[in-house]
Amino acid sequence: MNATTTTTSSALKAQHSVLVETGARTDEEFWQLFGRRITQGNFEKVNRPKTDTSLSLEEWNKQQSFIYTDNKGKHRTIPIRSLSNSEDEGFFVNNSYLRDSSSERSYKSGEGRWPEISIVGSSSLLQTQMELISRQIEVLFRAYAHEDFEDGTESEFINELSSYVLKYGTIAVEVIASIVLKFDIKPQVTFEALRWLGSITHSESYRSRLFLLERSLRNPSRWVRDGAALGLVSMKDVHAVPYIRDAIDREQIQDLRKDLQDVLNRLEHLSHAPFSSKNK
Amino acid sequence: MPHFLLKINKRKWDKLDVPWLEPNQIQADPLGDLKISEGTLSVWHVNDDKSNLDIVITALAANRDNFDKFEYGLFDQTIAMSLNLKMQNTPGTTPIDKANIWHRDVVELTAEKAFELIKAIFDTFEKQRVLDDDIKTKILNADSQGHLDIHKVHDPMKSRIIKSR
Repeated sequence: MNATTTTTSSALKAQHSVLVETGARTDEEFWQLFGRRITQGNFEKVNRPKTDTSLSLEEWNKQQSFIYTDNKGKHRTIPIRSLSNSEDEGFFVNNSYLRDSSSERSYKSGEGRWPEISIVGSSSLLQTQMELISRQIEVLFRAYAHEDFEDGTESEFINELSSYVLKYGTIAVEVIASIVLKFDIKPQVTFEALRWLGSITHSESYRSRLFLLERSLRNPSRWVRDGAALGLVSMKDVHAVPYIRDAIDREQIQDLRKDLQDVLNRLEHLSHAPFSSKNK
Repeated sequence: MPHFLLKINKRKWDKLDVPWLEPNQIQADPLGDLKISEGTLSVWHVNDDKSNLDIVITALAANRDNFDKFEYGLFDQTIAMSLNLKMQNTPGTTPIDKANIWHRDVVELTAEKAFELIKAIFDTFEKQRVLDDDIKTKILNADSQGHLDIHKVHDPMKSRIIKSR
């Protein structure tokens, strides 16, 4: 199969790294399902697959696995915990060593011949960059911990956060996701960030933003759950409907349950509309 | 009986079931929504039939920087009377003149009275949220119907309205 390889800058390409055809349908899915679980920054981009998969994002996430489609079109699963990288030439998957061989573009693993693996990425430079972005965004969240956000008012926090997402796209969203999951950021700040994440127009990070918002509906903080719901209603994507329904079923706070119901009603109304726009 | 409208942040008014809060106690969060200055709290009169509610919401929402959600609560005016709150008719300063007549000030408000007010309204407070898309529609309608004085609108909101015309 021919993989469509997404290349990076020549400086990054000069460094050694390996990219894997993951079966992810988009770059965003790759980062959501795979990229963040390995050492950050070892893989910058993923080839867009030619094959499709019937597996949903939820199924992938539940399985906590790296799933790919082999040459025969069969889905194969590798537990993500077994992935590790090697500093020198390649990396290990399920104890099988994968090495750069751009001429062949094929590798041997414990499960047989890999369908699509190609070389484009970077390692140390990107990792450093990721760590830097991560630190900067976390500092930003903490700096606004005592801000009294007011609806309808321009916010410096949002302006600054916006510049990170517009510049770094999905990587910035992944960093925000990791901050949200730490639970030690003031929830009111996260609330603002999430509802804003749903309202921006930025196609590259669309899937990762949607995924983060849907997942945040299960957050222990009512502020975070509410911010996620408001973000989702801004995205106007009916994909969120089952997640909102699930959140309503679990919600213990009566007022918030009503607010979630309003979001659901709005999204369901959109699903019956002949045309709905999305904040892509 | 008519109501008073208070601009709020809904999540601050959630009825919480947390270990540190005893039954019948209220978390202090709603106090943050009482923007009291010089002992004065701004509220809006809403008719018994709520016939002026929409224009008040639109006016308050238009008096901001962007088309954002708007959250408010309504409480019965009898509560204000029972607490002997001192009221004054003071015209509002929003970009919608026909809404400004509904503005009231609660004056000479002490910390004790403010806390009493929160306690008195907490259980029956009618909290509502208007989503940003609906706010945008309301403001643009007010603009197209000539209710909105664009010269009184904040610059960021003004450019958004003009762009949407």
